[in-house]
Amino acid sequence: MTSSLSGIYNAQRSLLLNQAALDVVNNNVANMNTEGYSKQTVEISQITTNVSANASVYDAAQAGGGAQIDAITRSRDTYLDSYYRQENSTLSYDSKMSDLSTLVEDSTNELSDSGIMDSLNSFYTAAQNLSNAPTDSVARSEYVQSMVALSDKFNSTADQLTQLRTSLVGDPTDPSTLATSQISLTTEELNSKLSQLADLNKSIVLSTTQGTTPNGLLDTRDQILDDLSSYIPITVTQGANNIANVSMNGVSLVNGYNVEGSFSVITNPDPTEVDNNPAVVQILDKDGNVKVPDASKYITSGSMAAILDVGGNDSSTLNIKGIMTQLDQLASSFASTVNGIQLYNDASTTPATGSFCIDNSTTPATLKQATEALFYDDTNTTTNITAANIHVNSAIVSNPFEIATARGDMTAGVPDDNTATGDGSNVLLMAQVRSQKLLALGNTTAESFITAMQGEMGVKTESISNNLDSQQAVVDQISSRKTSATGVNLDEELVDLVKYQRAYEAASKIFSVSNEILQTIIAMAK
Amino acid sequence: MSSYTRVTSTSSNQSIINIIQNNRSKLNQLNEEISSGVKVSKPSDDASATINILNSNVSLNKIDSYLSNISTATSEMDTVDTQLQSVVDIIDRVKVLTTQAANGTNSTTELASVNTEIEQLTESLKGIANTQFGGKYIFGGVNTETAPYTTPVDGEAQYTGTPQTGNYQRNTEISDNITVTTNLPGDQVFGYYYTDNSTSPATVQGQGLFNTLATLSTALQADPVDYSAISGKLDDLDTDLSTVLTASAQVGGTVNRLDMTKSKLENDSVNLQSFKSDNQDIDMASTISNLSYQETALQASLQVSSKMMKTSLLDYM
Repeated sequence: MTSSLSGIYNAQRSLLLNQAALDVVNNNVANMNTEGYSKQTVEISQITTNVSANASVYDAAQAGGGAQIDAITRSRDTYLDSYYRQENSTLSYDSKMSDLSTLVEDSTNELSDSGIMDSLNSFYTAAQNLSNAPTDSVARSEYVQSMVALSDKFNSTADQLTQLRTSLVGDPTDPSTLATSQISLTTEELNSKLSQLADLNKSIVLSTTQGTTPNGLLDTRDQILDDLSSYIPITVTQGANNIANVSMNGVSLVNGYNVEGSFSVITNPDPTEVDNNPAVVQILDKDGNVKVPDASKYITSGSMAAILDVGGNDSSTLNIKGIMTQLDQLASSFASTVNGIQLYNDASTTPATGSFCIDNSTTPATLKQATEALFYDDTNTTTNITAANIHVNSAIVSNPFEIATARGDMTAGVPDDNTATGDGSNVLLMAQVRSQKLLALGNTTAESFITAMQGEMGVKTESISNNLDSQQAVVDQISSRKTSATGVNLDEELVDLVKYQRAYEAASKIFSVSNEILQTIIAMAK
Repeated sequence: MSSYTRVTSTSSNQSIINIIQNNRSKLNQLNEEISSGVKVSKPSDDASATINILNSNVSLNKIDSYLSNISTATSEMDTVDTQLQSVVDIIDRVKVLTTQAANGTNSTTELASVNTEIEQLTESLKGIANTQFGGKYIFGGVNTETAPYTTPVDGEAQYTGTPQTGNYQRNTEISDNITVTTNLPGDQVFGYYYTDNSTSPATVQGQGLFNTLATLSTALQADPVDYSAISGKLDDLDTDLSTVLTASAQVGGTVNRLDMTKSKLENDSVNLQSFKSDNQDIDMASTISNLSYQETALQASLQVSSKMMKTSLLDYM
């Protein structure tokens, strides 16, 4: 036998229930466009607590006690989430690599009008012209200008690449650059997210143990986990009470409420390795002690891996150091070949053969032995020329007649025929360096060497770009399936809205009918 | 495309954005290609085409260099040839004068006037031998700064340039590691005549055309006149003429070689330009038609997207 008031109670429960359901619909619609929001659904079940298993058949056939909300669940597919994080990590790597490779390519593009090959061409042309007119001061000036332009081009390319590398992994010769490098900034962001995660774990566990499902916090935590996956590859394991533990290729980063692995960047302590990998990422435990001294083999994808690869020296990926080494080889080999012709001195023949420049202090001008090198390094010697420090000897710049245009016999450093000022054979040899296969460049000409460099760079950059395109398509697919599972569909919500609104109306009608019945019963007693 | 999936506003919006972005970026790419005219502007666009383009550039630049050298050398050698023609004219005139003088009927006055002309022709010849081209004395070997023929004493012509037995050649490159000599040493063509005061007693050094003219002049002034000596000079003049003609033929041969090389280089240049263009340039017609297709695609996607975004149940409630 049910009580007379049960009608009112059931109607009341119904009203509250539909009100709550409408709140959920409201929340869904409000958060329709919120990033990372998972659609929430009301789980409604029958109330059967007032019928026990030992009740009589008669009692069991009574009308039920109404409905109750069991839980408000969020739509989430954890498999899709972890798949997404894995592929997102790779996508971040490809995307970062693509950005960086575009920058590198722009600094070294020889298809533009102002590459190194362009400057080399001007040099060879000027040398040809000078060989045809060795006494002409205009031809000499132009030749000097071409050498200056070539050196400047080498310097500026090396400079751009060095700056790019410094912005990524810092410059070991200037420790203050490490703090502002991308690798440092990335580790700071990572660490902040890891501690946010640990804090969220705490709040979520507290909430869950009190019996409520903190949907908003769970959504926030999933967002943070997605963000983390773009920096490094992560694995998420669910624990009791909605705890999420994070590790990176086996290294534990967040375990429960604690950050067990935080990131730190230092200048490479190994002096033999610091040129190859200027910065080293380390993982510290919760007391600040180093638990992984070099984390690079664990950072296999994500934007951090891209920064380390491009700033490092791994020849299987595009890296700045490799390109700079090649440019240094080119500058050094070219300069030493040309310097060798400028200062030619072969004492093995009798008489000796030497290279001569023009001495304008006599009238008419005569030849004298050339003693000034053309290209210098930063200490004004010819021993350690690199792309960054190559420059033209200032003695040549101030007196272009010091360029050795002639070659011939000499005795004790004095040309046997010092009137041969019209001989351009020595500078013709400098022009013919164009066709000369240089040993230090792997037996190829300077221009072929650069062409091969460009081809190599093109292949690597093209493949990075293709990887990015195909990976983007994969991630877009997964992302679309994810939002399909978790997103808000306006039509669904509007149908739910009408559904619960009608149920509310019906429940309130039942309430007023129950009320009238009660009044009738009470009136009967009068 | 999957069959039934739950479509949410987020995924629908994202997909619209992706499609539009995609279309726009393709449109952008085509626009860039058309306005620049090239389809390969950086190595990542096409690595193997890049290698072809850069190699073509190197070859084309080298050809430009060689053509420039050939042009300079040809001009200089044309000058040499013109001067040699003048020398031939002088020798012809001297032969006429010599024949006239060898005729035993001339008086001393007539011989003196022949001698005056011979002396003037000698000075003319010296002027020719001291010709400059582009600021260089072309008959001086590698000594191009000072006039090769000096006059230590009236009637003498001393050669101070690089002798034909020395390294007189001025070479220019006309193809990879291939050079030609563009000059003739003065003493080969003109000879010399002077008194060498470094020996004791002083000796007279002479050979070639200047020697012939100087000794002819001496013979014309001799008293008594030795007619056989004068007529003997005709043989020397023939030898000198043949020397000049040989030199002229040598120059002609070199100029021919330069012309042939120039034609070949110009042909090579055309082929290389075509090869480079195949690799680098766009096909304007097909790119433009791609562009209009892409514009249509973009428009269609924009229209469809806007329709999709507007409709929902709200319109009907």
